Formats: sequence, C-alpha cells, structure tokens
Amino acid sequence: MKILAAVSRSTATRVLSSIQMLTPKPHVAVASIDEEAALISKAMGVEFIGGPLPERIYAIDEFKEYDVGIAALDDDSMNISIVKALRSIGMPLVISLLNNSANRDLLVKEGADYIIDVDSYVSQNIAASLIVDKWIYVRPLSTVNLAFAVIRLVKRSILGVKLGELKSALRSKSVHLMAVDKLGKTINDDSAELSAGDIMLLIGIESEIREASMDVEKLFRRREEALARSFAESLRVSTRPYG
Amino acid sequence: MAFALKSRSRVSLIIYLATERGVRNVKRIYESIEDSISVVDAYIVYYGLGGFKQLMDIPTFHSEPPYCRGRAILSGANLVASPVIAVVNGDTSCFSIDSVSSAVTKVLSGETLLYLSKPQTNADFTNVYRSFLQDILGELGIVQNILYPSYSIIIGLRKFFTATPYSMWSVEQLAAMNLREEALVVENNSCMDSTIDYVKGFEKAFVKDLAKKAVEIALQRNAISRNKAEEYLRRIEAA
Repeated sequence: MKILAAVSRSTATRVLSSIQMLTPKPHVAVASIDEEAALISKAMGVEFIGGPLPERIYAIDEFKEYDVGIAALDDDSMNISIVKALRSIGMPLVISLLNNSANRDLLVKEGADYIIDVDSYVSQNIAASLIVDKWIYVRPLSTVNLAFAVIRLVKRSILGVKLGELKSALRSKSVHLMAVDKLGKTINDDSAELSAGDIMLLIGIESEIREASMDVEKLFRRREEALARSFAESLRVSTRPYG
Repeated sequence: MAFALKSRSRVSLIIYLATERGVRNVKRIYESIEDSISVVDAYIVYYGLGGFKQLMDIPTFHSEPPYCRGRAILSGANLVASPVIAVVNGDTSCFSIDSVSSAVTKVLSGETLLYLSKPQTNADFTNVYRSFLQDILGELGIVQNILYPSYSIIIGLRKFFTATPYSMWSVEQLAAMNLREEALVVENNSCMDSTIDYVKGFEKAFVKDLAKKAVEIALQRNAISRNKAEEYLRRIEAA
C-alpha cells in the first residue's frame, strides 16, 4: 500500500505513528511545509517530499499510483484544497482532518471519504467532563456510523429510576443501553436504582440514539412530574390552616 | 460593454464577513459582482463567532480563529482555484461594482498587480495604525499608498496572499509591502466604513501584530538593517 500524508508540525507524529501500526508496512510519503515534520519523518524512516501544498501533490506524477491520501493540517482551508488535489489525481481513498465542525459540508462536497472531526471530539469530551444530567453525543470513529450518547446523573439520581425500567422503555429501539457506576464498574442488576455519579451510555446509529435519548428524557420527566406532584400534595397537608 | 468585459475576466471571488449585517449583504454583493465579471468559483468566508445562517448556494467556509481577518482572507485564497482573486468585505457597502470590474481588468491585463479600495475607517483605529506603521512604511517607500488600516475591495494575484505571512488584522498591507510602488493601485472610495465593532478596545493588539510582521518583511527586503529592525520591534513591544 502507498500512502501520501499531508501533515503539519502538530499532526505529524500522530498521523505517522498510526500509519506505522499497519502490517505489512506501507510506503509513506510525507508532504509538509514545516521543518519539524521533515525531522519527524526522518526519525520515523519515511520519505519526506516537502511543500508547497497542494501544488506539490499536482506536480509529482508518481502520486497517481498511491492508494490513500491523508489531509491532516491544522487549517481546514488547506485540508479542503488538499482533498480537492487528491481527488483530482484520482486517489482511491481520501481521509481528512476537520478542525471546525462547520466546514464538514465543504469536505464532503470535495470528496473526502472519511472525515475525522477533531473539533467535536475535543468539545464533546470537555462537555462530558463538566456537564451533568444532560445528554452529550459523541461519534468516536469516522469509519463507522456508530455514535454514543452519554449522561452523568447527579440531581436526577433522586428520582429512583431503575436500569430495568429504562431498558423496557427502549425495547423497541435498536440501541444498546449500559450503565457504569461512579467506580467505573458496569451495572448488571436491572433492579438497581441509578444513583448519583452513575453514567448511562446509549450506543447505536447516530439518529437512533438521539431518538432513544429523547425516550429516556420523557421517562425522567414523567418521574420528575410525579415527584413534584407528591411533594406538592405533602405541602398542602402540612400547610392546612388551623381551626 | 458589460458582456465584453465579462467574457474576458475570469476571477475567483471571496466575500468575507463577520457580522449579521454582512449575512444580509452577501446575496446582493454576489449577484451584482457575478453580473459584471465572470466568476470561476466563489466562497463566503465567515470569521465571526458562532453559527452562520446560509442564505444562498455559495460554499461557506468558517475560518478559525474567529475575528482574525487576516487568516480569513488567507483561507479564502487557499480555497479558490483562479490565479486572480477578488476579495470583498461583505460587512460593508463601501464599494461600487464598476470599481470591481475595472480593477479586475487592470489586474488581468498586468497593468497593476494589486488593487486596493480604501474606505474611511474609524479615527481611533486609523490613528493607532499610523502611529505604529507610518515609519516602517516610509522605510519601504510605500507610505502614501497604504496609510489606511482597512480596504473593502482587494484584487490581485492569489500567490501574493498565499506566500505572504498574515497578521491578525490583515494580509493585504503585507502583500503590498512585497511589491514595487508602481505595481500597486490604491483608490479612495470616499465612503465611511463603520462596521468593525469587534476591533474596538483591541486596536493596539491588532496593529502591533501587523507592525511586527511589517518589520519582518522590511528586513527581508533589505529596506532596514538588522539593528534598525530590532529597534522597531523593541519600540512596538514597549508601546
């Protein structure tokens, strides 16, 4: 296999070490305008062809025989122009990094086969570390149309929802539900009530997990309303005027 | 006449904008330019913060980091295919279609290599710009031409933008610094451009960054000695 990777100083190590996991070892050519990328390429024993980009891709005829092209720069405008160049020389498989999720449509339009959305991966990870009682959607691999939705329960743990109840609410959906406690152990007991710090995960096709998470939300809301009603009733009794 | 001009001129069009007002302007700007010149490809480059509601079928690129006008123009230049680009500020109405057409003709015929159309910008920003850049521009011998911080129409060869370092604020002044004075045309469009709200309070930061890049270019062009460059950089840092 022959791989052409356009990289920057910050992406060179990550991209090249991933490629080196392949067996048998592919032939790799690295295109970059950064001197640091030249140094990393030499250390990793791969060919460095330099820049400028994307002109260098058009200039070398040999690239027409390559199998995979990777656009992994920090700037989406460069990634888009490299994808355009790779497609125009007939590269069979084109992979691109996406630094701003809003530019996804442009990369799709230019013909990228796989788009690695660095932007949403970073922002969703930060959100998942900070936000509680709210669904966060993450798509871990660009090659598979699978995503997961994650929610960490804090306030909602007082609702006393059992794992089994959630599973039955999602019986008609083709998503997989699992829960992990705050110690990181899987909760297998369906009769167990979810407590503070527990994390719920929905795994499935992106559109289906969004629907399933809405179903779980409805169940939570029903329980919240029931709790609010019973609380209001208890207040009515205790505040009845004397005499 | 319009048909004859359109058939000869083939340029890439970049409309950059950072505001809601710009979003409303884009359709009108694109249609009027497209009527008068033959546009090979066009991109809207949005460099504001947050979302952008696309109003028409022109590809929209979201530039990072937000409010970095120089990077937005460079991104547009990276995306397009034609060797001649027309860069238009979508946030302002400070340009006429006639000036775009005539400037494109001048660049395509080789009469000029870079055309800039200058509106009047807010006085604070212009004063800060001049206080930092006037001396360096004097050393480069182009002081009269680029004494204004902002240009609403930029037309030139694409390579001038992609091969020039950009600053947070701009790339056009830096591209101009690499040209001989006669290759540059700057026209005053006598229009007051007040749509750079995001600059307010950050004038110095934008201009200091631009001035540092200008010193680098002046040094590369041997317009100033290394000692003089160091003195300029010290002065910029201390200000």
